[in-house]
Amino acid sequence: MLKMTSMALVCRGAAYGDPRQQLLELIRCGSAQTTPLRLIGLFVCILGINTNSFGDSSLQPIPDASYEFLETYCLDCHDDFERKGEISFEDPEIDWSNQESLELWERAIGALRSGEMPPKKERKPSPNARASMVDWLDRSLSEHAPIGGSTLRRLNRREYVNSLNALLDTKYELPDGFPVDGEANGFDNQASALMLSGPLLQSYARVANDLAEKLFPPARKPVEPITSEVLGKDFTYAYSSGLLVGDTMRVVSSSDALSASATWPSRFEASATGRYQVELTLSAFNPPPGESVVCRVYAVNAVEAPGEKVDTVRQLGEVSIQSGPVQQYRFEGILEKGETIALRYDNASLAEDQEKLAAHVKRLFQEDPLLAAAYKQADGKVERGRLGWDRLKALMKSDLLPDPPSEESLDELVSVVIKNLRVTTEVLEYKHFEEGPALEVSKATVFGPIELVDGKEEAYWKERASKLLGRTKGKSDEEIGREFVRSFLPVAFRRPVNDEVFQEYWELMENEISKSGRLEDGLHMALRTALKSPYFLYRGFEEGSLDGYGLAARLSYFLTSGPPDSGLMVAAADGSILKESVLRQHAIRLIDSKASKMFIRSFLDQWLDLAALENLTPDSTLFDKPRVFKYTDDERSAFVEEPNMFFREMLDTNRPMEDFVDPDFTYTNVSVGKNVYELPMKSSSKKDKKLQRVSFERGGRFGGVLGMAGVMTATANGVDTQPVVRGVWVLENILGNPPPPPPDAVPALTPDTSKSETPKEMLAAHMQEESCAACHKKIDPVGFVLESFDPIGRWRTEYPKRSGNSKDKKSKLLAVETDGVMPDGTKLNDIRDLKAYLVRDITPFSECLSEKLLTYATGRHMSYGDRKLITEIVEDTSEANGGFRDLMLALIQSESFRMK
Amino acid sequence: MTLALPVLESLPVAASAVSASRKLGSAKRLVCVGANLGLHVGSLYPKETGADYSVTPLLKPLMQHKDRLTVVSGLDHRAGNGHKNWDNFLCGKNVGDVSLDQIAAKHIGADTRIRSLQLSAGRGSFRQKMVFNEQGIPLPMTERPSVVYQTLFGLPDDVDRTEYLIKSGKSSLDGVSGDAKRLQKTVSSADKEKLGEYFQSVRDLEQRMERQLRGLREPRPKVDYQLPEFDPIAPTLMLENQALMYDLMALALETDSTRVITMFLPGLGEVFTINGETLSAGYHALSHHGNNPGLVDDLIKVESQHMALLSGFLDQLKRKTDIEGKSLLDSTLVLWGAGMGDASRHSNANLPVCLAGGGLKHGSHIAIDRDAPDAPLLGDLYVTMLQQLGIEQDRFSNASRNMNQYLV
Repeated sequence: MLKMTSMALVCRGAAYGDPRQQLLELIRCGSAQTTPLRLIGLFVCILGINTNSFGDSSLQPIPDASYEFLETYCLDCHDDFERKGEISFEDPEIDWSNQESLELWERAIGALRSGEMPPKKERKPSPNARASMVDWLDRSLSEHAPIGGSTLRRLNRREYVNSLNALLDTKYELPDGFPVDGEANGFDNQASALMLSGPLLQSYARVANDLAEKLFPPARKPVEPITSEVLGKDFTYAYSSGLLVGDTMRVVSSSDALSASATWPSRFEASATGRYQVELTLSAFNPPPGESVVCRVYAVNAVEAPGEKVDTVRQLGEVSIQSGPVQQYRFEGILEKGETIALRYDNASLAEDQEKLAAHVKRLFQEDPLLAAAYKQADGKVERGRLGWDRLKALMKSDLLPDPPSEESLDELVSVVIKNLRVTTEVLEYKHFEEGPALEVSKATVFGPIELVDGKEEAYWKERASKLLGRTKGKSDEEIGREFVRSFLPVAFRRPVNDEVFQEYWELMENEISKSGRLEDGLHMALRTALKSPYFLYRGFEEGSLDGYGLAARLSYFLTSGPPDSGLMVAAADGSILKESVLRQHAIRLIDSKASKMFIRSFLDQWLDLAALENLTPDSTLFDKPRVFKYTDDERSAFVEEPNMFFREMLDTNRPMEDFVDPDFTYTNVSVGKNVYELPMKSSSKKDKKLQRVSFERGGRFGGVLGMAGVMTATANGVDTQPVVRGVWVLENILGNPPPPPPDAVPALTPDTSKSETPKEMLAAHMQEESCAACHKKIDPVGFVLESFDPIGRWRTEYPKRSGNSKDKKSKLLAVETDGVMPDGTKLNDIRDLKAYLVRDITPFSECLSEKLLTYATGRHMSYGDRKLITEIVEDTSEANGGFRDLMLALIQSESFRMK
Repeated sequence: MTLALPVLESLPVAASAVSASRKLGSAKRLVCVGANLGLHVGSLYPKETGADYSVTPLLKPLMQHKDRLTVVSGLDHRAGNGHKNWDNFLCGKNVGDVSLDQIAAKHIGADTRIRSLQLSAGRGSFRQKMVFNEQGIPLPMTERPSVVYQTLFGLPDDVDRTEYLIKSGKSSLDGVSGDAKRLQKTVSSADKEKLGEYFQSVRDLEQRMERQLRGLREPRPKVDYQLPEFDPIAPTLMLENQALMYDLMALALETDSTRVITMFLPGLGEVFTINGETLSAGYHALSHHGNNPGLVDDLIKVESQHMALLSGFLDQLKRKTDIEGKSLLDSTLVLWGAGMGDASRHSNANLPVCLAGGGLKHGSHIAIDRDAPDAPLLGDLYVTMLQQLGIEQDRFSNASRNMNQYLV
C-alpha cells in the first residue's frame, strides 16, 4: 500500500543526494528505515491487527491428506527451521480467526494455482494432488473468510461535512484544525481506521454548538448608539492609495483593489450589526474641467479591507462632488459588526489597469510634454512611489531634458512606461496627490446603531432555520418542538426513529424551554444533541446483509460521499431498494448526477495517489532554461483533472476496460499536451488553460493510467524516480498483486555494485540473491519500463546530469534502460510492451480496480470470499462484452456490496 | 573548523572559567518574533565579529541591551526561496513541521493557564503562517490587542453564554449516551466493542468540559493597563499595534499567564509616517528596494522602528521580575528573526537572527560562514535554545548539532 504517508517519507529521504546511494538504500530493503518496502510491511501489520477482532479463535487441524501434501512438497523450505521467505507451514493446526494466517494461506493458494510454487527445480505434485490441495484450501478459506465483515463505520471528514450540509441545506465548512481521518486498505473511509476519541468528539461537539448558535441564536443584547467622529488624519489605506495633505486625506485612483484605491477610518468599526447614520465632509481637489468627483462609499470589514476588491464589497452610497468648498453629505446604511466605511474616487482616470493606464499616461504626456520628456530621459523607469515622482520633477526642471518624444514614438514610450503597472501607478498617484484631481476627505461622523438588524450572515441562517421548522404559524411551542424532532431526526439519522427516541429528544428540549421560556433554546439543544449522536455519526448498525436504509446509505456515500437523498430514502422505506433492478436504477441515477464528481475525485485522489500532487513541487533542475513549461497552478491542475475527466468518460460511455491501459483519447491542456505529451496542440489563446479532449493512436507511449503525467508525478518525488517505488505501485494498484513485505530476518544486502554504471546494473545485483529475486522479478521489469517517464511524466531516454557532483561532470549521460522480462517470460522493451501485455489479458487489472472500488464502497478489506466473487463478476462482465459502466453496476449489485 | 572567532580565542582565562561553569537549562520562557519582510541585512550585521563590533543602523536602538543580545549572521534552514517558504522560519527545513515554540510549549506550557499565545501585529496581505502544531496544522494568530487583553485579563465577553453551553452540554451528552445505550442493545458483539470507543469518548469529553467550566470562572490576574478605545487594526497603525502587543506580552509573562509567545509582524504596502515624516513608498515597496539608496533609507526607518519596539520590550522584561525576584529577561529567551533573508530578491538564505536574554552568554556578533562544510544551521541554534529551556533535544529538523559553544 503505497499511499500518502509512505510517499511523503520517501520524498523526504530521497530529495537530495546521490541517486546511486538511494538505489543502494532500496536494494537494502531489509534495513533502510525509509525504504518504501519496509513501510508497506508496517502497513500490512496494522491491517492485520485491525481486522483481527471479529470471530473467536478457531483452531482447526489440517486434514491428513493436506498435511501430507505439505510435507511432500512444501516443508523442505517452509518449515519452522528453514522458514524460507519467512513462511512456515509446519504447524498442523490453523487459527482461521487470525488475519495473518488467512493472508498466508491465501498466498499459498495463489502460488499453487499460478504454478509459482512449488518452484520449477523442486519435485512437482501431480495435477490431481495439486487440485485436491487447492480444493481443500478454497473450501477452508471460503468458510473462514466469507463475504462481508465490517464493523460500525464512522463518517469520515468528507462524509461528515457533506451530511451536515445536506441535512441543513447549507455550505458550511469545517473549522481549520478539524482532525483528519486515519487510513486503512489504501483509503480514508475504512471502518477499521475510523476510530473515535475524546478530542474528535469534542470537535464534533464544537461544530454542533457552532451550527446551533447560528441556527437558533441567543436573544440579542441591546447596544447603545454612539457617535464616532473621524478626522482626515485618522483615515487609513493599505498601499500608497492615499496621502494626508494638510488635514485632508486625498485619494486619486480607481484601481479595483481597495488596497490600491480606497481609504477608510482607522478608528471606527461598527460595534453591532445595525443601521448607522453617516455624515461625510468631502471636497473635490482640481477635478478635470467640467467633471465632478464621484465618491462611492462601501461597507468593508475593517480587518479584511486591504484584501478586498471593489466588486466584492457592498456599496452603501454614492455622492457627486463639484469643485468648491467642503460640503457635508448624509446618508443611512447597514453596517455589520466589525465593518467600517471605505471611500473611493470612482471616476478617477488613474487606475492600475493595462488599458486604463495606457490611456491615462498618453493623455498626461500629451497635456504635458515635459513629463513625457522626463520619462524618456529616465528610459521609462523610475523608483516606485514618491521617490519616482520626485525624480521626474527634478528631470522636468533640468537643462539636460531631451526633446519631448514625437507623436509616433509617444506610443512606444507609453508602452514602456506602463510595463510595470504598479510602479507607474504609484508614481503617478504622487503627481495627483500634489496636483489633483483628487477626492478629499476631511471628516466622517458615524452615529449608531440606530436599530439592530440581521446581517447577511444572520439572515442566511435565519432562513435555513425557518426552512428546517416548516410552517410554524398558529402552533404552540410544544407543537413546533415535537414536529421538529419528528421531521428532523429520521433525516439526520438516515432511518426511522422510534417513539422512545422522539420522547427523549423532546424532553431534552422541554427542559431548556422551561428554563428560559425560549423555544430557540430547546431547538438549539435538540440540534446539537442529534449532531453528535452515534445514529448520526455512524452507519451500518445491522449484521450480515444490509437492510434498505443501510443499503441506501452505502450507495449514496459510495457515489456521492454524502447521505441518501429523498429518492433513496423512499426506496429504503418501502424496501424496493433491495430489489436488484431498483438498486441499479438508483446507482445509474447517482452516477449520472453531478454529485458523483465527489466519488471520482476522492477515489482517484486515493487510488492513483493524486492527492499527493497537492504538496509536491517539482525540483527546478527538471526544467530547461528559459523555462517554457513551468508547472504553474494551471498545469498542475491539468495533471489532476486529466485522470478525473478520463475516468468520467470511461464510466459515462461504458468504455472497454482495456481503455484504462491503452486508450485512444485523453484530456489535457495546451501546455501539458505540448510539453509533456509532445502532442501537436495548437494555441488558441484564452482556451489554452482549459482541458480539451484529444484523440491519438492506440499503442503509443502516453495515454492510459500508466502514461498520465499526474500518475507518473505522484509516483515520483519531484526530484527523481525510483524504479522499485513505481514497480511496487503498479503491482499494488494496477495488477492487484502486491509483493509481500520484505522479510525482516534477511540481512542487509551489499551487492558488489562498484562496476555498475546504470541503475539497472545496480539493481541487477539482487536478482542474484534468491530471497530478493522472488519479489524483484515481479517489481523490477515494470519499474524499469516506467523509467522512461521523468519525475513529471515527460518522456526521456537519458538520465539527467547531476548538478553539484563534480565527478559526474565529465561523464556521459546515462541511458535509460527499460528492457526486462516479466515473471511469465514475456519480454518488455518499453512501456508499449507493458501496455500490450496488460491489454492481452485485462482480467488482473479489472479485478484489481474492482477490488479497489469495493474496498472504497464497503469500507472494509476484501476477504477471500469477496475476491472470489470479484473474479466471477469480472469474468461474467467480460463474457458479456461489458464495459466499465457495466462492471461498476455489477459490483454495486453484488453480494459484497450488499453485505456489511 | 574554519570559523575564525577572534574574541572567543582571546578571552581571558577567568572569563572562560565563568562561561564554562554556566549550565544549560536556566531559561523558563520563550518569545519568538518573525517579521514578514525580514530586515535589510546590510544595515543589520556589523563587519566585525565578536563583542567589539561597530554599531550598525539597525542595531543602534538595541545597544542598551548589548550585553544581553547576540546577533548571528549566516544562519538559515537550507530551504527554497519565495514568500511561501517564509513559513518555515520556526519549522526548520519543511513548512508544516512542528514549530520551535510548540515544541517548547509541550514542555513548559502545561503549568500556565494559556499553553502558548500566538499573535500577529495586525493583518498582512500575505497570509503567512508561522506556528504549526504537531499535526502540522497552522495555529491561528490573534490580530487584535483587545482580544489578547480579554484572553489574558478579562473574563470572556459572553461568559454566561459559554457557561450555559457547557452546563447544558452535559445534558446533551447524557442524551447521546442514551442513544448509544439503545444502539448497543441491537448490535453485534464486534460493534459493541466499537461503540466502546464512543462511550469512552463521551467520558473523556465530560472531563474536558468539567475542566473548561472550572477555568471559566477562574480569577484572572489584575493589571493596571489601559488599552486604547480602538484596536489599531488599520494598516497604517501596524507599528502602534506592535507596540501594544509587546506591552501585553510583557504583562502576560509577568503574570505567568503563559510562558510561550509568538508574534508575527506583517508587512503590507502601507505608507508609514514616522516622527512626522511620511515615507516615500509603502513598506512592501520599500522592501523591494533594488538597492536604491533612497528606498533603502526609508526602509531602514521602518525597520529601526521594529528594532526600537523590540528594545522597548526587552527593557520591560529587564525591569519586570519573576516570583523569585529575578529579572524576567534573564529567564526569557527572545528570538527575533524572519523566514526571509533578502526580501528584495525573495531569498531565504542568510536569515536575520537576533537572540536576547534567557541567561545565555551574549554580547557578540557571531558570523557563520555558510560555505564551511560544518557550518551550523538555524536549527542548531534552536537546539541550543530548547536545551536552555531545559528540554532534552539534540535535533531540530535538518539540524543535529547545536550552538552551545558560542552561547553557553
